[in-house]
Amino acid sequence: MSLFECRSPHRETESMRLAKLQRVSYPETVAEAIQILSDKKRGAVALSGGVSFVFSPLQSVEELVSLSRLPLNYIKRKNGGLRIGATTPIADLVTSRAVKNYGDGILWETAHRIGSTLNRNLITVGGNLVQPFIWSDLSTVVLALRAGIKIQGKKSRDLSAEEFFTRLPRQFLKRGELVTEIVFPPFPKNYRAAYEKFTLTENDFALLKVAVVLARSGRVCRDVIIVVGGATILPQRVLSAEEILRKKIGSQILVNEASEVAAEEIKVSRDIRCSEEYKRDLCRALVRGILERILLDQKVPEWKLF
Amino acid sequence: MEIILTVNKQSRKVEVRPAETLLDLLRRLGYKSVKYGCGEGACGACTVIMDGRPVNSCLILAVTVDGREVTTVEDLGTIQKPHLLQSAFVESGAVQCGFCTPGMIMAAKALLDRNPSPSEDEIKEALDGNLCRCTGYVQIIEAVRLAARRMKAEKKKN
Repeated sequence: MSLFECRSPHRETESMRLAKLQRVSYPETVAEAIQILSDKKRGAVALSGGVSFVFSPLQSVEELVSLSRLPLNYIKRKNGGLRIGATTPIADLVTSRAVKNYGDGILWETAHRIGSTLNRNLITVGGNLVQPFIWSDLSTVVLALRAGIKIQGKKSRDLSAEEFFTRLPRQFLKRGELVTEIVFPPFPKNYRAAYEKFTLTENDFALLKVAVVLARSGRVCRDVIIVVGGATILPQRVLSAEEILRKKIGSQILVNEASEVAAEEIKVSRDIRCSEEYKRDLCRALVRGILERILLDQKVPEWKLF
Repeated sequence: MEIILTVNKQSRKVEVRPAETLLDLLRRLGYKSVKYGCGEGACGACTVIMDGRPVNSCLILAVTVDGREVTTVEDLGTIQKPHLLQSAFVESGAVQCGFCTPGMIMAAKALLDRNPSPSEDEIKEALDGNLCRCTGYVQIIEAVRLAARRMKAEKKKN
């Protein structure tokens, strides 16, 4: 090895990785992809953006099914809602006017803050949901916006985000099933939404994020969904905090109480990056800051959240 | 496994290892402008343009780029006749150790192809995945603005 040869740490083990991989297929239709993935003998695994797979490839994979040529790269407006194809790169959400104008811009804001421009060109909407990590961003907002997930396989099924995130998607997606579309419902005019995430640097993985969607008439909170992501791999709704706010007149006391309850109620898994107490503190600050902004109409600068 | 891809407008049929990344493949093929920095999509030193989009080549398995079109800095200019972006980087003092420069230039090229007159914020956003530990970014942003002005002027002339 010359002094100037690039030496990747991955290379030391590269020969051992994906040792069984024999081929990569590029189906052009969903039906074709499902057919390949359903075949038990082929041991095939679907690959969308492929970012997470590079780091943790399944060693037993014999065939990769690239979803890059499927006609699932689209963003469509429909009856005030959105339909987004599973292989749409996150970067396309950022450049889409339809996404920016939907749901108080909460989906755009989330997409815009996922990794860097270079990462967003690779990460896909479907991949981000199906292969979640504790820092994955999209799932929190998908749950808060009550989106629907379309799954196609031998039989097609539609799940609500709530059903989808009860278990890790890899555990309940059957062999040959693919997430093909995310359906965002219409966002009524009296609804408000906001998303905040805490990272140590702008492009860093989030330590915690919170999405809140609420319906207001005047200062009365008619309906609310509070979702916390990053405390566990799957996003979680904070039902008791929601209950404190529902059908009540918004006030600082109520907001403080709801954020306190949210911080106490969330489950927090072990995270090498920070302590459980720290995450609970973050949760309290983020929930309070968002509610002050969208329920009490206060202008809360980002630095003041913490 | 054998794949066919286009690198710098040249079609290439190559044998790739199952776990080889696009970064490793490009360097093996002699495109040494593509640098190994972090290997995890955080630094942008390995940036190439794939099908018109700037991407981290360290995050892509080579076996999955069959039929794709990849562009590296080698396609932009030569020492004798550098691309306007390359000369703008030199003139603006945007190159110090030079390790991040190919990635910066590819990210900037993808931006200017899409948006010939970017604002400062748009330049910052386009380069948000490219780290430079030497220059402090001010000169890099200035270089992209300079190149944008020159490319526009050249387009008008033609």
